[in-house]
Order: sequence, then structure tokens, then C-alpha cells
Amino acid sequence: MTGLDFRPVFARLPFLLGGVGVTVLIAGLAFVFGLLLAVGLAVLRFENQGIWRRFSRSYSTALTNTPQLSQIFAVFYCLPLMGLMVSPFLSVVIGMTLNAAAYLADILGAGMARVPPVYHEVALTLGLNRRQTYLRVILPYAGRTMFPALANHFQIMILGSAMASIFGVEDLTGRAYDIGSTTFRILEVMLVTGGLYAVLSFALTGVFALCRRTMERMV
Amino acid sequence: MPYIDVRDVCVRHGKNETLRHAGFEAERGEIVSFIGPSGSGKTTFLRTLIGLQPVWQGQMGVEGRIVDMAAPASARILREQAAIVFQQYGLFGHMSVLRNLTLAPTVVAKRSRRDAEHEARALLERLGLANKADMLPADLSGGQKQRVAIARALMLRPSLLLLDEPTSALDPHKVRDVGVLLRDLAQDGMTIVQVSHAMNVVSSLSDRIVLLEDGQVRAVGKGRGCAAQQPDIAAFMNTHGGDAAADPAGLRPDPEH
Repeated sequence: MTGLDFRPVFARLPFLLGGVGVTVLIAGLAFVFGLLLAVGLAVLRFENQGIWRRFSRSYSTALTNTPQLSQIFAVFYCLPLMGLMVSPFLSVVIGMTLNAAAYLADILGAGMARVPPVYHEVALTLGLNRRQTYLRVILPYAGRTMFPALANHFQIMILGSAMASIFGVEDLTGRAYDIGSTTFRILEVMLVTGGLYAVLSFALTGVFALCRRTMERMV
Repeated sequence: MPYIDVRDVCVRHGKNETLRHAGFEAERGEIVSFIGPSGSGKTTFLRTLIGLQPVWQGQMGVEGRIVDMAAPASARILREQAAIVFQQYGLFGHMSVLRNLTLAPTVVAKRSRRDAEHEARALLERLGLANKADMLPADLSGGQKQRVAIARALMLRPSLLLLDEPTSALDPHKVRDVGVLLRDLAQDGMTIVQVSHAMNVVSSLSDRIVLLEDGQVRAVGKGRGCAAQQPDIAAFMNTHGGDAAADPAGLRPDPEH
């Protein structure tokens, strides 16, 4: 039985830390674009009774009931078949964006359903058109109501972005594998990496709390 | 010619007629009250005046300009001249009091933010809310919320101010404050139409009372003190918890008898 030896891992810590930026970038891009798509999906669901509403619901149902990994694989292999050569990094970002859109649309949809009904009539009588009503009243209100759920999903995405390593992306987990395969100190590097994810996640909790307070003062 | 002249308003829900040939007139600066039993169409009637309730037919004249209320384009025209204060106020909870007031002027009327804020602050000051500008609606009392809602409506510079049950959610001693405020606004030339169940407020505040029953205008009383003089109205008010001759708030400055 051999003891744990963290020295080879700590010697490569700068390389490992470089993966943190990639992890945040993947999750951040997927979250931002996912949120934009989700706004569209949620509005479709809110506005239309017919086919578009069903489309939006089916989209969320389909993507929240299948593994994100399969979805990224689908993007990874399907885009080249369609003649679009994209990097593994971009495939992962696109896959995670599509997945995030499904979840975030559900969250925003729930938030929009909680907007007091009288707001719609007030907006109408104030002269706001539909676009203005969504941008100034419904979406900001829903976003604020659902802020904890949205922040929570971003945290899940940070941790879930480890899947990028499967596609050869040099994110935090990808770099951890690199270090593991050159030093054979798999357990040690994974413990350190797990710690880094934890630090990142806690830091985000702080950032979100700050965001929230700023948002409340900014109104 | 009356300042506001609403005629022949009919609202249908399927086979039901919730409003049948309803109408009323009002001079500039008058306070008109719609009264009547539940389901008589008071609130429906009020909502037609700002295009929230589609009508089968009806027309509204404001300063001689006639609007066909059944035309699809009428809602926009009605909203240009009227503003409404809802029973639940509907202040936007994610915005400060000041932003609630400046939203429509800046976003819809494209006025400068600075100009709109200047006017909004002056209005808040007038309504005794100067120190509430930067608060969220959730931090206000019911009476304050209502005054903010009235201020927001006034920012639209309406010629007609509509209020749905303005006193229903207020403490009795706040009711008088609203009455004084409405009276002030009317004296400045604002025409006000309110739906009310509070008969004491109606009798002390109204220049004109419209009694609705079963979707029809049953009686109209004109002038201060009309509550006691028009027999149908007096009968209704006396059976609905009010004294037709009451003036508990002392809001009737020039009794006509």
C-alpha cells in the first residue's frame, strides 16, 4: 500500500488552474446563449396556444429527459455531417446551450406564470406595446422571481461542464486527466480538482448573492 | 356640449348582455360615481372607457371628438385620453416608485428620463410621497401604494381618470385622504370616474351618480347632494350601507340647499 503523493500534482498546479478559465468560459457561454434561447421559448409558450406552444414544451420535455452527454454527442457528430466543421470546444458549448435552454425555459416559464395578471392590463393602459411589456415588465419580474433557480442552474452547469473533457477539451477536468495520465497520480489529481470545483462553486454563490443585492439596489 | 359623452355602450358575452345601451355624460372637472349591485356591470362599464373591455357597440365623445368604441383602433385612442387606477394598484414590484412613474413617459412617450423624473418627483411631493421615490412598492403601505398608482396614472396626463374601487382596500381614516386628493384633482380640471361600493364616499364626493342595474343605467343623479334627491339612488344607497345625505368626510364644500 503506497501513500498519497501530491507533489507531482502541485508541481503542475498552474497548468491545472488554467483549466478553470476554460470551465467558466464553457459554462458561461452556454448559460448566456441558453438564457437567450430560453427567453424565446418561454415567450412562445406564454403567447401562443397552438403549435408553437407545443413545440416549446416538447423541446423542453425532450431535452430534460435525455442525458446531456448524448445531446453533446449528437451535436459533435451531426454538425460535421451537415458540413459544419466545429471544434470540440464549440460542440460542447452548443450542446450545453441547447440543454440549458430547455431547463431555463421551464424556469422562466414558471416565473412568467407568477407575474401578477394585473401587470398585463397596467402595461396595456400605460401604452406599452408587447415587446416593451416583455422587456420592461414580464421578463425582468420573472427573472428576479426566479433568480435563485437560475443561479442554481448555472452552478449545475459549471460542474456539468466536466463532460467537455470527454471530447478532448482542456477544461479543468480535461487537464486533470492529462496530469493523471502523465504522473499516474489519478486519485491525487482528482481530489485537488474536486477541491477546485468546490472553491469555484462557493465563489459563485458569493458572486450571485452580490448580484442579487446590486439588482435590488439598482431598480 | 358635455365634456365627456358616452352613449349606447353594449357588451355581450355570448348570449349574455352584461351592458345594455349604457351611457353617461360628464362636465370637465366632475367626479362621476358608478354604483349598483354586484354584477350590475359597473366595472365592465369602467373598463370599456379605456378599451380593456371589447364592446359590441358604443361611442364616446371627448371635447366633441367622437370615438367609435367598437372599432378595433378605438382602444389606442381611448388610452391616449384616459388612465386607470386598478383596484389592486398593479405597481411593478421590480421597479422603484420613481421608475413606476417614469416608465411610460420615457418608454412610450419617449420623453427624456431627466424630464420625466423631474415631473415624477414633483408629483410625488404633491401627494406627500417625496421620500418614497427610491423605495420598492413592497415597502409601502396600502394607502401609499394607491397614491403611487394614482401618480403613475397622472403621469400619462389624462383628461379622464378612472378608478376601480379606490377605497375598498383602505383603512377608514385613509378613505378621507383619497377623497380630498380626488377632489383636488377634479378642481384642477380632471374628470374622474370611479366605481365604488362605499356609499358614504359616493355621496360626499360625487358630482354625478350613475346607478347601474342589470347592465342598464337605472338612474342618474346630478349635482352635489343628488344622492338624497334622486329617489332610486337614495333607495339603493340606503339599502347598501350608506346614508344618502351623509357627508362624513366633510368633502362637500358647497351644498346646494
